[in-house]
Amino acid sequence: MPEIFTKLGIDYKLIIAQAVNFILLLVILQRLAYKPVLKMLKERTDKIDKSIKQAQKIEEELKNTEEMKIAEIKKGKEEYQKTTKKAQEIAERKSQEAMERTRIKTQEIVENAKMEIRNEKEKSVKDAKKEIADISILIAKKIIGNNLNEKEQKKIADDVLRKI
Amino acid sequence: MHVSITPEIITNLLGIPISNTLIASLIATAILVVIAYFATRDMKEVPTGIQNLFEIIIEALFNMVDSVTGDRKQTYQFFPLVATIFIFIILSNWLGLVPGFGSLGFYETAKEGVHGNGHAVFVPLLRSANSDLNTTLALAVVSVMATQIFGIMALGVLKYGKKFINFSSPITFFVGILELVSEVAKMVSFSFRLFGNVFAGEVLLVVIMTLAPFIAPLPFFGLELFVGFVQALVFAMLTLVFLKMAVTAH
Repeated sequence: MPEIFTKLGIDYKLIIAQAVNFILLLVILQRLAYKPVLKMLKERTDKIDKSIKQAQKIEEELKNTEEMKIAEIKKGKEEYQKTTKKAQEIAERKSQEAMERTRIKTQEIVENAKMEIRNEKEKSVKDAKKEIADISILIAKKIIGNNLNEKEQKKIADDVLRKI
Repeated sequence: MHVSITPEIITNLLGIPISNTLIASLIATAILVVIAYFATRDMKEVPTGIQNLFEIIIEALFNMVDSVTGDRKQTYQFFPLVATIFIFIILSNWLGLVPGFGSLGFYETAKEGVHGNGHAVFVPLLRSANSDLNTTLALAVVSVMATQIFGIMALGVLKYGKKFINFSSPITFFVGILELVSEVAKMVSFSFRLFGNVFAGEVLLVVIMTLAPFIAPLPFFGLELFVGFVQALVFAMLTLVFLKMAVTAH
């Protein structure tokens, strides 16, 4: 058995040296390379993961905001339409009322004017009648002479007035 | 032309024989440490240059480990070992293809041993780390030991030991013995597979280069690059699968 070992060049000292060398390399690489690099990789993965999640969240929020905006606009439009309609109705009603009032007032004014005209007319007719009677009496006096008693004067006046 | 199956001992240092494969391993280690240092010295959120390359490699390996374990905690446990095995083996294999490996060296008059015939032999200063059974055996031992340790950590000594020594029935006892043998077999298969592939590649390249030094070796270099990658992947993946099996209760 030992002869095979020497023929293959196996030397326990060399094996130990190689093993120690390898274990040393393992320890150094673990300290120097694997730990920091794996940490860095993990950090980067976490960061990317976080960023993606954040981006998704932002996108979602944006979508929500967009929807809310659209809803708000729609609501505003409806409100506007409703208000406009209401304003129109009010305006219409107001104008109708105003027209009604104006009509009534006009009617009133016309009525008053008519009445006044009638009164005026009546008064002027009465005045004219009286004038005419007076003139008639005067004329009669001139024709007949001034001797007319009161009774006759009256009779003439009445006659004239009736004839007119 | 002579390709030795054993690594050449360059010198002795504090009683440890320094072979040319050990030097190659140390060079691979140094390169990795330096690159890792510069890659992570100034980590940026947006990676550039060498940091980027390192991140790509580590992330790919991490995802591979994660796909096998299917459990993040286990992935973090196994990842350092599996990744180091992969990176070390692939770099060692590819370094072995760099000009200078196997060609830079000196002549030595051997006194004894397998090539000691009294005349000068060529001793390369550098040799592909995995073309030495010591390196692959060391990796295999580390891998199998780690499997045991992770198994015990995950299941506890008693429950994990039951896999190997179980007296509840003759069948389970026999299966336990088989499991025990298979652990040793794992080590052997791990080490010989990697050693065989890399060593065969070295020999193949030497042979081709002696037959036709120009152009002809090129496709074989491409092949060896691929083999180096596949062997690293196989070693890492098998380790990973064994780890996963060890921490899974039966």
